[in-house]
Amino acid sequence: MGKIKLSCLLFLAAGLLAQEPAQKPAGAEQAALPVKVIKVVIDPGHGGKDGGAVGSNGTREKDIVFEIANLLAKKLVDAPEQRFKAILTRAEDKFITLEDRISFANQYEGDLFISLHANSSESNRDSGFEVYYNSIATDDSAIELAKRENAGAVEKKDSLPADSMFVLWDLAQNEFQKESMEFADKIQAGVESSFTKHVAEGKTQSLRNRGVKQASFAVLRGVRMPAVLVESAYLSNFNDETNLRSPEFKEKLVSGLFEAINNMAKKFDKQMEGAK
Amino acid sequence: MKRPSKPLIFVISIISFMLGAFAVKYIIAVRKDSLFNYAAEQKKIKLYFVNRDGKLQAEKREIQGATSVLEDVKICVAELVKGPVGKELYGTFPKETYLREAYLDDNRCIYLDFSKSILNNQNGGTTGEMQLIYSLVDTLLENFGQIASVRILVEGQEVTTIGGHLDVNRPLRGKKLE
Repeated sequence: MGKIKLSCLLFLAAGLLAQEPAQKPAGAEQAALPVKVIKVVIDPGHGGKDGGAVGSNGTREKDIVFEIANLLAKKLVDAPEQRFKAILTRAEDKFITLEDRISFANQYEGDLFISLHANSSESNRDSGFEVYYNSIATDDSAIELAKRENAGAVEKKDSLPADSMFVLWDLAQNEFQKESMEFADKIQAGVESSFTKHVAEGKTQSLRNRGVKQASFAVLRGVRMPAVLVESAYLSNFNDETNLRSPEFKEKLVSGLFEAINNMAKKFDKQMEGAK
Repeated sequence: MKRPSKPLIFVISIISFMLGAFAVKYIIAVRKDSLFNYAAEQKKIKLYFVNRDGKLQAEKREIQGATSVLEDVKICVAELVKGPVGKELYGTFPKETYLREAYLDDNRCIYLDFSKSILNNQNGGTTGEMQLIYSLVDTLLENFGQIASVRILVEGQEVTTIGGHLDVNRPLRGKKLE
């Protein structure tokens, strides 16, 4: 009987101790809370047997984007207050399927996903950087219809039966579309600002800003977090290829990307404050 | 009985003429987009290639048409793969690519089954891939009213991407490249 009483007392004491933190003043608890650590999944495009685009001087997309990815990861990890965690979808020159990249990002439960690429065009005049986010409306007719629907100009209609499964699949990921668009805008602004400062400092390297665009990318389909694809510059353009080989150029690009990620982190902080 | 006035006859004649012209135009358009009564005749087609600014630009060409839409599609794609005649334009397909077969479904979606060489586009970044896909899609939608969308197969199988970027496992429609 005495043993039972002792057990009950111990149980009650444990219960009181467990409640103790909840009874602390609200201000003291807030001060003790660490800032949310933002997990960034960096996806260096291509790899292994898939070299991606190749420049006229032999620069390979898979190598360039791997270098940029590592620079960005280092910058994130070195940020003050251990604000960021960075993880790469490939740690070496290895072929990884797009499905595995998506699955990896989702399992890691990242907060942001950024796929890094270098572009190429049939015309060697094309140059500059551009940022893409996934969109349901990818073709001109669909984009036009979406705009008109949003403006209330036309009644929303069901899609053609042949397209319905694709639209449903896209809608499932639409949850992050707005934030992906915002992330893309911040990257565009960050990189633009980084290179504007660079040119103002008297450096000759510049990067044409081709803007934020939307398209249906396989590697962004099914990613359960705000996700973008960055085309850093054109390997098919002589100046862009030369720039991509330059460490200074890559550093500027990474600074712009970091600024954008940092701005997204601030936005997440505000959201958390608002939720309290 | 009072005879109709001259201005009234004139107005009726004009209206009849306009209605007749619309009817003829409509019949020609319907016949052109029809899957049946398809005439094997010389046809003027527009093929989309990439210009120096990286945009898609049409080049006109004359072909000897066949007796079905699908045969004409094959001829059209073969011409597209051959590349442009104009010096200021660039082709988008690897030269060794060929169309194995073409099928049209009830939703007017055309399935194009390509040889695996379509995947060998070494220079293909996102923009290059977009140029390839939409030079094909825009060409087919421009020349064949019977086609509403395009799906790409490789060696009889569905593929996710052509060059590791854009998702092509869906019906594709026209796009102007920015």
